[in-house]
Amino acid sequence: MKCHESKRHLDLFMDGELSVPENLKVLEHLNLCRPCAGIYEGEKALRAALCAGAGRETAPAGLAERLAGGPALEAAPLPTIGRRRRRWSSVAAAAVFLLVMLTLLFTTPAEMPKALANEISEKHIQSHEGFCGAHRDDCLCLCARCNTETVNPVGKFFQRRVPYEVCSHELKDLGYEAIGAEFWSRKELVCLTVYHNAAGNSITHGLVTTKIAMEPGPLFVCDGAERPVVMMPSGKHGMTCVFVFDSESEATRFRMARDLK
Amino acid sequence: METQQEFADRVKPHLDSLYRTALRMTGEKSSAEDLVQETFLKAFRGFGQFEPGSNFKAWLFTILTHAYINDYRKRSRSPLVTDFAEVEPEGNDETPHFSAEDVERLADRLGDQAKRALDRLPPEHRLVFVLSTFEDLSYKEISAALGVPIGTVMSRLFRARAVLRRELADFARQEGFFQEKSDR
Repeated sequence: MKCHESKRHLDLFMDGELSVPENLKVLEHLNLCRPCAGIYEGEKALRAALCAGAGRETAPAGLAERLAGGPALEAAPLPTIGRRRRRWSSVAAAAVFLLVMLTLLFTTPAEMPKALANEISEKHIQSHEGFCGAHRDDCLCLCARCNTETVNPVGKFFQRRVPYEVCSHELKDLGYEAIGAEFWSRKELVCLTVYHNAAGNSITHGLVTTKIAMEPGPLFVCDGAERPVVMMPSGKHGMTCVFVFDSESEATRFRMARDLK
Repeated sequence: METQQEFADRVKPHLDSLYRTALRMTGEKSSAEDLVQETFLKAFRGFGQFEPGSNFKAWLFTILTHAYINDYRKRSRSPLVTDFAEVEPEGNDETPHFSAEDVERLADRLGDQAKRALDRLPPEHRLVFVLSTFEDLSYKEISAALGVPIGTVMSRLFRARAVLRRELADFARQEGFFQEKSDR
């Protein structure tokens, strides 16, 4: 790809509107061409500055209450303040846990166990926090203490909790079982599903926007090292499935089982 | 009651986004609140027709944009703005590009400049820009929300971004730090 083509495609690339092959071509060019990478970085910063400068207002505190008082919703008042406080506490707890999880995902120091999913699972069993449906609406723990569903609990969880289509994957043929799922409403990452197998390996799956998935540079770093990542089109417009593995051999096994090159 | 609660639960996460978009379009806090309230009432009445599995946020924005275009603008008697991107030949395609360092300096001095530049865009362009850049809707979702072809979404977006870049570049030049690098 030439520079002028890269520049012409840049907005579409950043909007996540290119096909996967086109995306890869732009990405390859940005990795090789310093001037174009500079334009991309500038454009990314400009969008962030515009969002910060003009796109971050929040609704007035009274608007939700006003909306609840409208004639059509008269019979359906929003939750009481006490309940709302509990819900916001839950959201805050979710945000904190997710932050911890993402910190682990991106920057786990060398002394931490390499298996992210097992780390999360162990922490949950010790503290009963984290992937726990008993404590949080937007998070599903599949440990025997928390989970009562016997058939397709992850699918049912997403169906119940998420207002639009997300995805989870059946990985039993590879020996992996789901141990938890989480819905994250931030736009870059829609859902997160964590799997582990009897040998102690883990797979962390996220449904992310294609533009984030195609971002130049390493996406997932654990133990201070880049983790093997496999990406798959999700079938959902503008979204890509990202699978993070503990080892290249597990990633290769996954690719072969899914006929991915 | 279950449906009403479910509706309220689904709508609440999008309250800020809807309000922000309404504010960018109406320019007044009270009008923005009215527009959001109207959107919520219409959405609640049509909640039964919402197709499970489709994008709830995009559905809400479709209702908001329809409410804005059909009702609010009629009530406010605002004149329709000609979509010049579709009729005006593009005489000057040069688009300034900022470096990340330029943007860092710009952001420090930007103040309300970004809002003012955005508010000066024709409403149709502003709406497409806000839905794409701030709310992350896809071109397809914006096209459905506005009832216009995807090509029109793209041309409006292209034009809106070009105008914003130029306005911000002018501002940066006035501030005396922008090292111009144009792209054809």
